[in-house]
Amino acid sequence: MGVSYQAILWNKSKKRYDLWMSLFIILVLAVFVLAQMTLHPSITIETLIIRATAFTAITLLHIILIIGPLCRLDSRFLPLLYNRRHLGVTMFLFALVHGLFCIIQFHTLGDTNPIASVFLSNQNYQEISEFPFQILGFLALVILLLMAATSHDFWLKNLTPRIWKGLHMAVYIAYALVVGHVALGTLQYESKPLYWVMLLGGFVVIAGLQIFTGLREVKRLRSTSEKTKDKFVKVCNFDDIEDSRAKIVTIGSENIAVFRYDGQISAVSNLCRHQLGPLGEGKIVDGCITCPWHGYQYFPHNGQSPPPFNEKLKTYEVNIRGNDVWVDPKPKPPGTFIQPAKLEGSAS
Amino acid sequence: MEGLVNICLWLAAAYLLVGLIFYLVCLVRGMQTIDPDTVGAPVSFRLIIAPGVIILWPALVGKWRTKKPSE
Ligand code: HEM
Ligand code: FES
Repeated sequence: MGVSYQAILWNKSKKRYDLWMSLFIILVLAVFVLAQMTLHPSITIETLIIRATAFTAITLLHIILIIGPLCRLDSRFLPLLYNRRHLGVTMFLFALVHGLFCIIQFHTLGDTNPIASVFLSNQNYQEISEFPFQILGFLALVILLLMAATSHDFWLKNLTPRIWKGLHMAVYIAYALVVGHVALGTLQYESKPLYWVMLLGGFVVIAGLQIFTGLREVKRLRSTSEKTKDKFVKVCNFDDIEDSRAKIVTIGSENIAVFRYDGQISAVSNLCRHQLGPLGEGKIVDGCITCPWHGYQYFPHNGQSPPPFNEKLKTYEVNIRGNDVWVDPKPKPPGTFIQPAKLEGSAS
Repeated sequence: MEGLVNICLWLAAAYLLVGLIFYLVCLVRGMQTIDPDTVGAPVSFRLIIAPGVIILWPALVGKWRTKKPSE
């Protein structure tokens, strides 16, 4: 953001986030360890570590994957999204401990290189029940490593947001690999149906939420019907927008957030300059549009971040006729000042 | 199969070694030509980007080269 980098940006709400995250993880670990010790009283500490870290990692992975769609369904989930990357890095660290312990436990005894041994010790690719499931786990771990290693904003900027976003979409590949890893591994000899129920249940929830919110999005894009008058497009009624909030409209290829604040209207690009977060789902805080994802801020009238930052959004001409809000979908260059439109009759 | 896996592992090790050397060189000089915002960043920042630099060094090498002449 134009000022020199810090290792980790912590503020009060991120600290609170990390505190809740730690408490949740301790709870998951405690429940899992207790359950294992009751079910398998003779379990060794190594096996317990391997299983407990694996279980924590896969639980966190599920949470990470449903946060996005949950937030689209209901803005009350937004706080979960706020610091999702700490969740991601933590998940990777648990998966890493699991992977390292497995390699030490199962692959350091022979004279082959331990990592080569992950790939060589079992080559039964034809047998479902003996499939080399550890390779799938290894590949998933490589993807998670890439994502964790590039989670800092330094990478967002230097890999460009497009590449970075693409890289982080690989989390779905990692998820598929992990599902394969567990289904072809543990579940082949674990006879309790509970494990299958959890794995399938997780998949149904993730896939269901993604499909449901995807369909809603398509419907929203279609239904933003607009009546054009000169170049301006009628988007909604002034009262349709809550104060200090926005309505998101898509006109042609432009994704626009129309904000209402102090009895006036301004329109800016809906895409946050940070990671393309949906600004229109955010609020106006202290006079600034505040991104719901990580809190980047912009002035509504010119799309510029307050100093010392220098991010700029595209802005759009706006107009109020009667009670209707009209927007010119032709974007102005990022950072262009646009006179906010006032509701007629409101004090100026 | 065994030969193939071993070759891949050696290649990966060599690649990461180049990354490590690149990272160490960057620490001494070059980081600010890649990204001026790194000037004045604390040591913890340099540590936290280390794994990424070692793995993704090709993405940064390009930037370093193209920016050098204008120094
Ligand atoms: C180097 C990479 C990996 C290796 C060598 C590996 C190896 C193993 C092995 C040997 C088991 C069976 C352990 C047992 O039941 O006693 C296992 C189970 C499991 N692994 Fe991995 N794994 C790796 C990566 C991962 C990753 C990245 C994840 C995902 C987050 C993961 C999630 C799991 C889960 C959920 C189980 C079932 C745990 C249980 O038995 O309760 N693994 N893995
Ligand atoms: S996407 Fe990160 S702050 Fe907007």
